[in-house]
Amino acid sequence: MQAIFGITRPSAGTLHIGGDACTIRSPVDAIANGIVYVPEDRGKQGAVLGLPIYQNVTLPSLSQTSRSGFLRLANEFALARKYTERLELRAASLDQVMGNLSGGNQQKVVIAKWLATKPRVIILDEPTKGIDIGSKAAVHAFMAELAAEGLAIIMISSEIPEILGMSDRVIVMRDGLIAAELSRSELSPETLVRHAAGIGPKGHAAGIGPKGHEPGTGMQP
Amino acid sequence: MQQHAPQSVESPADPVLRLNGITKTFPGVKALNAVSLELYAGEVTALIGENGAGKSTIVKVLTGIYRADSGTINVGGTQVNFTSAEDATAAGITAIHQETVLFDELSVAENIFIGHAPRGRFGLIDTAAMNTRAQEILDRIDAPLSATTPLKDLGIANKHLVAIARALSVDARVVIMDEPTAALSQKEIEELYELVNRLKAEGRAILFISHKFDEVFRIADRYAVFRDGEKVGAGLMADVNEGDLVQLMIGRAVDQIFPVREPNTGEEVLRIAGYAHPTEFDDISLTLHAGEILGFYGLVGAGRPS
Repeated sequence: MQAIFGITRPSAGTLHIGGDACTIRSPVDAIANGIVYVPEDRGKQGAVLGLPIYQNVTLPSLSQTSRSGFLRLANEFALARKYTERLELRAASLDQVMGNLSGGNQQKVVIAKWLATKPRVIILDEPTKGIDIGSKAAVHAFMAELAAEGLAIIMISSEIPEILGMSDRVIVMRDGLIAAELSRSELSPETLVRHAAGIGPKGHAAGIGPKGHEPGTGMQP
Repeated sequence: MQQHAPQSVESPADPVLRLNGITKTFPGVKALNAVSLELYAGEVTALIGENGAGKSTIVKVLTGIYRADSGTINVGGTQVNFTSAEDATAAGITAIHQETVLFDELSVAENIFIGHAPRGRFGLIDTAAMNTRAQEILDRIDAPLSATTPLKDLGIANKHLVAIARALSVDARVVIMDEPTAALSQKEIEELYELVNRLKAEGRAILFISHKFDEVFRIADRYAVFRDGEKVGAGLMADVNEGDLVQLMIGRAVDQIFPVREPNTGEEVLRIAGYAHPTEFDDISLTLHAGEILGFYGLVGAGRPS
């Protein structure tokens, strides 16, 4: 995914956006082509913890909030308010320093920041990892809304419920290769884990381990 | 703390290590909830679970990096209280990580004994004794290395052996291996399995963390499955098959509520063909349409496109 956003460079392969061939050499190229990436490690890669919320949101959109090279505070606040309100951000004010927000709210600010660049493709890497259930639901609802508006979303997740609950299609990776591509109707927790762990479909798994008819002791249903 | 002989005097039925009711909470997340775990001398226990199931947290509790909020740890029948990583090492618990930190400018022996080098008169490091003991450990694991070689002259696989030798230099009765085969070639994996068997024969208890089912069935005697910070199953490998373990890993129905979505897929927005990278990924092709949510799933260490 970092390759699509221009952080890692692929050694081979092509990328088309809306039918046009593109070369993404840097995140700047990616943003210019309407691709944004919300990283998993917000603290290191996504949020500037020492800056207030509004400055975090407007950071990649300074051309929208400045005139003649000077930042317009009012424009910055307007842009920040527009996108944080949509995400139901819970914060005392947009002046609040990022570092004081909960993980869920930090995630909302990082997503707001990238939405403000009006992307066509948004890559969300573990969008709800480490955030509370309420914020998870808000992020999920918002993702559904964005998709309904026509945004294309790539969601990387290691949480099976999230994958099952949100995806139209799923690509399962194993050892750096695509192990399977599954449509919504083919999705089940078991298929996902089997493809990801490299176990054949049910019935083909026999013969590797010793078998017992009863599950081991200490199991719960 | 005395040096523990790996051959324990307890009867084989007594676990070398017993965790009871271990709970560890981080702000907003219960990483471990009343977890128990037992490891036995001369046996490999596979620790299985999805990402985020609590595997790494339990390892950090076992190695003294995290302190549990509650619960007890017993080693060889004695309750212990780890306040630091050194405490865990002194109690005979050692971990072999994928990313053990090694120092290129030091010799193999210095890397093995860094932090606990044998000391001679006036507290100075006894280099001769250190080299001799390092060589003994290397020979014991059949590592084709000289203790005095500078580490920077070694390849990746041999550096891995140094990391293992370092873990064994503390004469551990409990050896934790966290995804040890993830970065190894097939030949190196076979050598690692042999090493595991040797450690078993020496009577050490091994906790083997892996998401590769074939290797779990090949080398483990017991299993413990974690899900959402709880131990959901444990027993003998001989009593289960892959399907049983998969069921334990994923558990029962999803109880989270997700928004109802009308699939509303429009024109193609993004197409990638044949993306490759020397080490991270290969042959990646995908298309993405407007209004679509494309999920990417993989177990950590499985080359998930991070």
